[in-house]
Amino acid sequence: MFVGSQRLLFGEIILPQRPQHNRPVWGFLNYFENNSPENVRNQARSYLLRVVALTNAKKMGDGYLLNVGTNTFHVRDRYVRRVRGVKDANSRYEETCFFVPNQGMPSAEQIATALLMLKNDPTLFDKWAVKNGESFKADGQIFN
Amino acid sequence: MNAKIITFSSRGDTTLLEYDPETADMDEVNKLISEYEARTGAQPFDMATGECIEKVTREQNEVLMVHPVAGG
Repeated sequence: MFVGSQRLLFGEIILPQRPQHNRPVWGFLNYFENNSPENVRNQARSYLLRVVALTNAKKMGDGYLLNVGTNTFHVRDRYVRRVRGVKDANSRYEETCFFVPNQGMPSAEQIATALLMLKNDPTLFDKWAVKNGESFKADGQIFN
Repeated sequence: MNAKIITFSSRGDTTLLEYDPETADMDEVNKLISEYEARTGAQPFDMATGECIEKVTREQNEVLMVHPVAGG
């Protein structure tokens, strides 16, 4: 599907005037789809369930238990608790909150994001706890 | 079947890019992803494995751009 020449989410990226069969096409491809609040919630929940399966997380109470190496995290809406893990001088935190600066992202997708990131790098837990309000990329680097 | 680069959004998800993995210029795909990463901090995860990836290949059919998470 060709969207047209315009500035989109990517700002500087300008789409070509004509579609080329071997080139990717950027755009809000589902812009005109029906995205009622219920559809959005269902989509978000569907992604969360996929991420839960991918990360081998287990449902527990209002969140999910995630095992990563020697750590076990309980991830729920905006909060992560370290249930089990290495305790040393640099990891004295048992719980921290987190948020995705992307305004309006459904909570199911915020939880899915945290699950993916912690599975990829469990040390992010301590970075979130120590650096209140700072954003971290999945590779642990601070994003400004 | 087309491959997709998606991201979570207030609308549930947003398809950022859709292409034919057999014919697409993967250098171009990765260049666009790098530009998006530089702008937003989002990094690509393979939705088949749940792992963060450095480069998208023709084998990946669905890649999720995961946005940074802030501590609180």
